[in-house]
Amino acid sequence: MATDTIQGADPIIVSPRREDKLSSIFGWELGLLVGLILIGFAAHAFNMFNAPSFKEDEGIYAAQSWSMLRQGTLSPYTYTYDHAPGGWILSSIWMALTGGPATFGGAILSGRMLVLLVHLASIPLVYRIGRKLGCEVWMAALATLIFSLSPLSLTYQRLFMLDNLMVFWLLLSINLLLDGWGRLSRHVLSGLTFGIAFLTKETAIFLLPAMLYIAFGQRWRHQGRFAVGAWVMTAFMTISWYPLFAALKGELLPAGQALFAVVSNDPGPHVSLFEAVKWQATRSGGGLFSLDNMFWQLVRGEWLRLDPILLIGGVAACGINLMRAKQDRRALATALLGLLPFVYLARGGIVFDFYFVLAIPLLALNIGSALSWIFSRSRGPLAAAVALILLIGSGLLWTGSGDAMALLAERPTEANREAVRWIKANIPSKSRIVARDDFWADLREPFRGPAFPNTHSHWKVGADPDVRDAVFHGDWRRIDYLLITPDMPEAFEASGNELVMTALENAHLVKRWKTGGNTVELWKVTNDRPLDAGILEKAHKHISEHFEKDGAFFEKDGSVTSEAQSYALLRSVWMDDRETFDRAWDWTRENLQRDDALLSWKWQNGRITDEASATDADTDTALALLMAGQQWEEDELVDEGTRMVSSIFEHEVAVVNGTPYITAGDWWETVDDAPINPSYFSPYAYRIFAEVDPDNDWGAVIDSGYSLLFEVTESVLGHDNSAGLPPDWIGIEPSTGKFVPIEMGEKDATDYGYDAARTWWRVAMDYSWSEDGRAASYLEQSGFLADEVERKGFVSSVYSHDGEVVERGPSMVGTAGAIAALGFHDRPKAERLFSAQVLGGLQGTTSEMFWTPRADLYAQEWGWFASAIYEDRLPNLWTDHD
Amino acid sequence: MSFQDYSAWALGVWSVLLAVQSAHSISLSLYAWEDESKRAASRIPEDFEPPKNSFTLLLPAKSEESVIADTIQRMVDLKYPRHLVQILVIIDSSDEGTIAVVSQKLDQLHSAKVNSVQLITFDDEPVTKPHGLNVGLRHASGEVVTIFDAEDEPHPDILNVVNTLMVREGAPVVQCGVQLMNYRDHWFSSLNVLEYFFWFKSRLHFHATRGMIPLGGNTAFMRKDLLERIGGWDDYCLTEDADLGIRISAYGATIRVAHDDRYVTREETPHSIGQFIKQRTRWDQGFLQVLKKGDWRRLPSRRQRTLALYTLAFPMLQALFMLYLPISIYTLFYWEVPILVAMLASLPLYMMLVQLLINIVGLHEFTSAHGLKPSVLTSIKLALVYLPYQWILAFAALRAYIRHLRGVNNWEKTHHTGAHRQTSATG
Repeated sequence: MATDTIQGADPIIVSPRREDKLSSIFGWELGLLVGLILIGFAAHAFNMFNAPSFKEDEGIYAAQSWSMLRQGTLSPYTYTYDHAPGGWILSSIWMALTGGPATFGGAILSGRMLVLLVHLASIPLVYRIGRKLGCEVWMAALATLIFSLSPLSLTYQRLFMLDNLMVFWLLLSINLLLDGWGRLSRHVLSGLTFGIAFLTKETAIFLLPAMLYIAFGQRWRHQGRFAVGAWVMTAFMTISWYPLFAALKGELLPAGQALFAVVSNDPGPHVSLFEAVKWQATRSGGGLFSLDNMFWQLVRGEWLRLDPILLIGGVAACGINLMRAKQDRRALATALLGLLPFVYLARGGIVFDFYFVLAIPLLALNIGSALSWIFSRSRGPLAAAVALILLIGSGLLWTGSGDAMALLAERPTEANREAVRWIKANIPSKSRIVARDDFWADLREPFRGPAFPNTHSHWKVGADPDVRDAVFHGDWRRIDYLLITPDMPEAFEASGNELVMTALENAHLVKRWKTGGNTVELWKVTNDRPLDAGILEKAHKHISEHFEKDGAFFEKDGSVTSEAQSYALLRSVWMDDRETFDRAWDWTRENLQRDDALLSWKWQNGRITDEASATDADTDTALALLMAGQQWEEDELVDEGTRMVSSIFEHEVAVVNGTPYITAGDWWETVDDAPINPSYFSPYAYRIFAEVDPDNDWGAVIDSGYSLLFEVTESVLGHDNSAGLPPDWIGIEPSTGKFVPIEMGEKDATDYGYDAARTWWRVAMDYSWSEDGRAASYLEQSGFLADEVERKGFVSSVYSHDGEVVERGPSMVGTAGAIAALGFHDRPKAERLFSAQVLGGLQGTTSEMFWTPRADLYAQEWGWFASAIYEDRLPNLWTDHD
Repeated sequence: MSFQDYSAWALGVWSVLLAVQSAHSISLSLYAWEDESKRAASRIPEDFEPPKNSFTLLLPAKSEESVIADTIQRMVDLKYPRHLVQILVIIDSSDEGTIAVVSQKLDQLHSAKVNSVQLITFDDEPVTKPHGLNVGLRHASGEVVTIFDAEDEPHPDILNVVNTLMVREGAPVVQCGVQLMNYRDHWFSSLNVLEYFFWFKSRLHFHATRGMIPLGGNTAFMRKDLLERIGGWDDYCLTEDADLGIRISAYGATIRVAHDDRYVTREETPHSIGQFIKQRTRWDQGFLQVLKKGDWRRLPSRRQRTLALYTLAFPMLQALFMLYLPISIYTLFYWEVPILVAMLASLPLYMMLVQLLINIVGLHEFTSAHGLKPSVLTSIKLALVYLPYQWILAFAALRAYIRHLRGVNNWEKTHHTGAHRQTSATG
């Protein structure tokens, strides 16, 4: 020991060098440490991306890391001094080094990866601190194991929370200060890392008394008067960067009290560090003396349940260490470190469960230290045995609980990933989404699809004028989607978030994802803003890619129907897709068209399998040809369409008692009662047909069709009553002209099913193009569907004529019909149905999207027609062509 | 990025560089306090070997009528066998006043049967301290040569200390501590004193570990044969001591740095601010000369060369630092720069504050090492004059630079009054 100095005390905490021989760390202790790190890695890494479910705070820090990385600002919104920014500055650097926030599958996961590394780095720190504070080797190892394996640690130390990063810096600071060589530079570095701990989370300051005690006790002679000063000065200066930052921004003090008047030219209201600290300090958690404050609630309800050994054992160990503080000042330092977190936790202010993170390593160290003392005379086997029993006991206690399974086996965060994936694939990227904070960064980042730059935090929508007023203008209608969990409405209410609450009241559930006890919901706000999701384009493309071959659109059994071809032709005209139209029409003309210009309805394996015609397909094809001819100025197409129109009247219209009725096909004459499919009735088309085919009385066909529709819908058709739904099929007795039920295979042809649902769509089209009063009256009769949507949120695929459910599940054509009908007189229900069934029913990725059943061409077509009529994108191209 | 942005970021980078430089300088200042081994390496033996080496003490003087007689007596009184000590008082022949005083003193010593002191005058050009030393070297008979300035007050046992170190460790060169003492005399005294304190107590030891030492002007002991081999001093160098140190280092000879507060050679600060500026200008200009001469390039390792470059250019760095301070402050409060740049620009300010605090703590370390008691007022005064002192240093550095550019290389002599002796008498 040097003798040439003037100051007194020997270092009191760590004895010089003897316990910190660098050489020992390269021997078997190194092996021990590697083992401890591996155990910590296994325990903390296993299933860490899947559980526990994301906390919103993790999302906030992910968002702020993202903002540092992508925007170079501390927060994507106004930085409110909610916390000092050291934590997310670190994580943004981490993200930059690892290739962006998406590298580990999401910004929060990237943060969790960092937290894992920080935990592993903390393991040798806890061990070394334990050794330096007087723990025997095995007790230091025990403390380290408790630090890693405590259920409290496994639960909270996986989270991307500032506390976890702060604890690392704090441990590093303690370890540096307890330098066995008394190096002055270590005091400086310790002060620096303590400052960084503070800048990571301010609560580190609660450890200051213990740090000062150690710094004071760690004076060495050779350090002279520089010892404590070096620590204090460095720590203070590092910490001072936070208020300096605020001062430079003119945000140290509230508006009107600026310290640097020169800086804050704008005297308007602004955030301030002072106000933020005041707010944090006064957030009440039930008061210091209440046994029902947040601290005691957490002790009883959470912490004791998760790990009674660490909590009770740790506090008891602190007591033991305090008792022997007089003989061993290292014990006093240890006890101080263990107890000070409780000053913070039990202060009566606001406390969250994960705040306990700060106490975990320090209580573990106390346990190690106290046990070392207890077994100091009978060390070895007994100590090891007790340690082992402690560990196994706690392990058993915990693994028996559901908490362990939840952490190790369940996948709650999977729902978040699925939701992000789906949204990126199916929703326009400019949508204004108000989301839980844990979705924020992943939606803003172009990853698994485009970036969603209009994603906003519900907190900010509620409270930040820059978002609430500047972005949303205080108007809930400006919100397109809400991405939330079922518990959030309570939070909206608690935070007085009127805007989001109103939006939610006016929203419809689009989709729900559920995994591992976690539920995520996407709601579409009914806001009359165009959806513009690109559904029509994507579905149009998808159908051609997956069902078409050289202009033929195949059903899953390998057949081609005139109906499918007619749908393809109509779609192509409306999508202005000449190529697809030409392919489809060429194929149809060559393979299906008969000499009379009508189409045979079925083709398979290279030949016509049923020559008969189907009126709906002929009508749709003729309409498509006429509109195409106008749209693309091809007279030939108009001529071909006109030829079909005449032929339809000639072969597919039955004149009964002088009234012309549109029948189901040219085969009507071969059966007793003329078969009529009400869903073939296309008045909007007939009005155009009348123009090109003036020789035939198409007006009479419209009139007869409407009378028939009203009558068959109202009459009971052999049931006790009518639900007000059109039947799939009906017949006309040629002799009397009466409407009678007919046999169509095994099914009851009076059912409202896959055919009849289209009726609404066609009538709605007529209203849209002609505003015929009969169309309006007919659509208004769809109250049954409105009731069904009200009751179940969807419309079943098949009902009997009296309204009994025959097939409960929804069908795309049924949904399309209901959307068409309800869109006319009950828009919110139509939107609800559209959100949940059409938009929410979309499956697949950005490159491919479809409705279920995937192989069902009919479902794809009616998904398209439903979207088209909902988005009002079916113009009359005969009159309104370009 | 606009020009404004570029200049803002350039300012940020510049600030960081300055702060790093400053932090490095701080770490060198505190090197001795880092750990036990640092002090152990510079330890002075507690017991002495029997006298073995013979010494020649060179005592160059110019216009030192008032102190020279006392100093000669002090040299004569050093505790070492008188037959092993040769004292050479070296005076240029035009300085008749000092020659007269010395002759008178010699007569007095002769009558007391003390014959180890000789007066050597020279009249050839240049009339500089290094030239005088070279003249003295030619007359030296001791195995070890050392220099004391006319106002120096070495420890009576200093020759025993050096003899012991040379016998035990075989060191060819030993640099012992020099310390200004009169910390309360002038407004700049305390900071000037602390410069010596940190230099000899701490920084020099770092240089020793690197094997690159700019020797001090006195209390440096060198084997005569080594001195002759490397050609003595540079007649024209304003800081012949630093120059010699670098040449010895480049030659590969070990320099043992020994420091103990009890054994320091006591000196005084310049007695006026004008003198202070002249002295500092001479040093800074001398460093520039040495830098330009380029002997440091012959140092064997890159780390040594870097350290030499850093040390010799340091006065200029410091000047830049101080000139930058107003810019830093202006930036912080008035210039609309990105917040991060403003934060970075504050770093040098932080470092300056750290240096100030270190100086205040250092003042207490210094006074307690020498059994003095500083008043609270001294610390406050130190804080108040800290910045002006730094600007004086910066001014001297710039002045040196300008003189160097203009080729003005004459020696501005510092006057001595023996103020430290009064301090130690009352302190």
